[in-house]
Amino acid sequence: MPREIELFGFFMPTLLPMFLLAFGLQWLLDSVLARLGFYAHVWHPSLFRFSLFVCLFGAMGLFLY
Amino acid sequence: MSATPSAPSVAGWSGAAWRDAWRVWVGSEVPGWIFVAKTTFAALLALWIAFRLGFDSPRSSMLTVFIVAQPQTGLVLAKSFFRVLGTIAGSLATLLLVGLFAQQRELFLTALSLWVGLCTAGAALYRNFRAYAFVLAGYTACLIGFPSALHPETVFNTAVFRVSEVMLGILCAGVVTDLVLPQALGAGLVTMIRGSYREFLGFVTGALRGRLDHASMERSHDHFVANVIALEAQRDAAYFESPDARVRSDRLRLLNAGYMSSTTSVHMLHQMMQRLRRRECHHALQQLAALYEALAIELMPEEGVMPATAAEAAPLAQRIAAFRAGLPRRIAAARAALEHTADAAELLDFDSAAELLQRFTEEMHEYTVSYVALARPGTRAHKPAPPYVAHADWITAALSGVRAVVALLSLSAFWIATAWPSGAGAATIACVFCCLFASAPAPVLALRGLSIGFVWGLLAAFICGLLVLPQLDGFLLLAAGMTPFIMVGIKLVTNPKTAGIGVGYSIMFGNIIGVENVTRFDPLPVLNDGFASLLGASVAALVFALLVPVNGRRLRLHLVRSLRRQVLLACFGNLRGLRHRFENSTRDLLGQLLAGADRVGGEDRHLLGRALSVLETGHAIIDLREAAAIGTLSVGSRAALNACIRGLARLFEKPSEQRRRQALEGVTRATDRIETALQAEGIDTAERTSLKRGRVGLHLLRTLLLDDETFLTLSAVENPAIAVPGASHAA
Repeated sequence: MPREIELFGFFMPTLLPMFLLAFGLQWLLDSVLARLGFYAHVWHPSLFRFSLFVCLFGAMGLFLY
Repeated sequence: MSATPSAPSVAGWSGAAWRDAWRVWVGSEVPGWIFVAKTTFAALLALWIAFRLGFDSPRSSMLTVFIVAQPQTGLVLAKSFFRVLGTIAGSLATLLLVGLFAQQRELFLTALSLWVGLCTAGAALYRNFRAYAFVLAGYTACLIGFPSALHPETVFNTAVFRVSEVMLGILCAGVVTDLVLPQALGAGLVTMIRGSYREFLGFVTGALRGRLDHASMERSHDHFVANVIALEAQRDAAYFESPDARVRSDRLRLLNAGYMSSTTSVHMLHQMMQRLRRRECHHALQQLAALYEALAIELMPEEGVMPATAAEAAPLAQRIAAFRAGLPRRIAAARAALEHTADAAELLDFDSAAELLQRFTEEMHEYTVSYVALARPGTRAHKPAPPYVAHADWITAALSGVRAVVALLSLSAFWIATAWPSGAGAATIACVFCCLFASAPAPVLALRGLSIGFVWGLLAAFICGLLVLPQLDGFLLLAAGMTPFIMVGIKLVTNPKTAGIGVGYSIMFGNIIGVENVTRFDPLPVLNDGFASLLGASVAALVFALLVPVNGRRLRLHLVRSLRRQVLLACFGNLRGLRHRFENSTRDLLGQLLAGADRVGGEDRHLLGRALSVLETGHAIIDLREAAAIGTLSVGSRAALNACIRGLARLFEKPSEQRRRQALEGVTRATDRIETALQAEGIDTAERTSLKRGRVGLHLLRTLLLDDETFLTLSAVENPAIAVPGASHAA
């Protein structure tokens, strides 16, 4: 995959749309998990959420580098 | 050796005393210090990353952290979200403005001022977190626009860097707040909801048993208004905190709507009882008191305890439901007992009071059901929740916009005329403050706190930047050198009394310390920028104080008048969801007015009295309109009801004795029509109910119109002899 995307003559790192995509995915997963009552079994919900996001974003980043 | 509790000497403290003191200290001080440590860490983290990424102005990231820092995660995330939106909108607007007017500085500055004015007006219109997006859209345009007006070719880069810096600051603040010893908004929200439910239950049982005096009624209503607004603000912020809170968001809105309508109907019920007592309708009172007592016993048995949690309120909801089902029978029995002794007028009074009781029971049931529903995780609201309707005042908003335009234009003119290198800084700061305090109840006071903070921040930046930092080398030492100075500012923010000073200090310190990629240690720009900020703040304060001051007599009179004109909304607004919209916006407006009210002079009591009368009148009018809307009403009757509504609207638009008389005549005619319609054949139960409600509404309106005291409360503004006390005092 290209490391930079051109948008209207402006180059931006592919990581940026990936970040947004990961954010959206995380939001979705988060709502599903919350609806299932999953967070009742988690010690530190926000740490879990953050780690989930890092995993998603990191996994996407592997496609690039 | 024993220590007396009244004068313990330190040497005489036992282990238990030390432990107590420790616990008190931990309880009161530690949360503040945790917040200080977290924010300092987040700020330095943002600064470090910004340096590593080579951003244009790393300090913007640090400043962003200072600005969005809040103890609770939800507040940080809500503020951050709208900050991002505003920053992006502001950047796009600047790109457009620079593209259009880069060659003409006068045109560019005028266009920029107009944009800022628009944003400020928007910020004044929405007084919650949404306002923050408008604030940012306004001042981001200045932050990017001024430097790029001098070098138009760099505008795109400046905008990209600005957005990146803000995002970085937000990410750091959000992640640190949420991960390190998080304090969720949810817990506080739960305590608040439980507290307000218990308070309301106590209030209702007291009112039903007739044990509350006027003063405590007023105090409670004052609380209720504050609770409604606080709950909405917290719900709004908690929405960003966790998906769990998002699931509950609808139910919280429903709860708040139920809370508002039950407070109004309990007030109407109480007023009705007062009128009956004044008119000495003993028979009706006796029957009603028995009904009230029955409800009070259901709500809270004499020896019973209040439900501590939402789950514990479930049996209460069932009891109220059972009472509600049996109420029509009880009312019919009481009416039958009354029919022998009372005359027609007293019977009508009884019907009205009984109708109000029925409505209150309904609303209390709704409120309790939505309270109980909060305890169940993961389910949706049991019915669609109405949105919170804030009162948006266009005149206030437009004035805020004009203030910002004036401040910015005058500073721009000064900048052009003197060619002062820091003119842009002054204009930016003036713009920031005009936006930021567009909806503050006392902007001049807030600006004074900020300016004091500015002076201290300038001093601290001077000491830190010119004496401490030159001795140090490397980021770690830089961070170590800045930490104590940063901590002072954030510690000030944690105390509500010094929060304004703390914000001013932090902004000034972060701005002036000027940690850049290429470090300069030069006192001249430090002083120049510092004075520019002070000048900007002073111009903003001047504009707020001189251009139709927010707390000045004129603007307050306008708002107080709007409170009365809320009745017009009840008269002419679209009937769909009108009751909630009317109730909500009236309470929101009252909250705005109370925020700036002179409590010592008794202005708050006056405002409360007026708002409650307005609520009573409005609900009666809505009842009447619903009765006028039924299908089988004859054309003549409908015309009479509509004429009555128009007459009331005229009275509330501008009260006068003549209009009062006309409105009363209209009410009399409409009452006759409704009586005839009730006798008519072929109306079904639903229509009969709304006709009966309309009749009760008319009866209420008549009593309100005949009551001199109420009329005086509503028309006091127009009569200079009894002008609102305290309204003339300008901030």
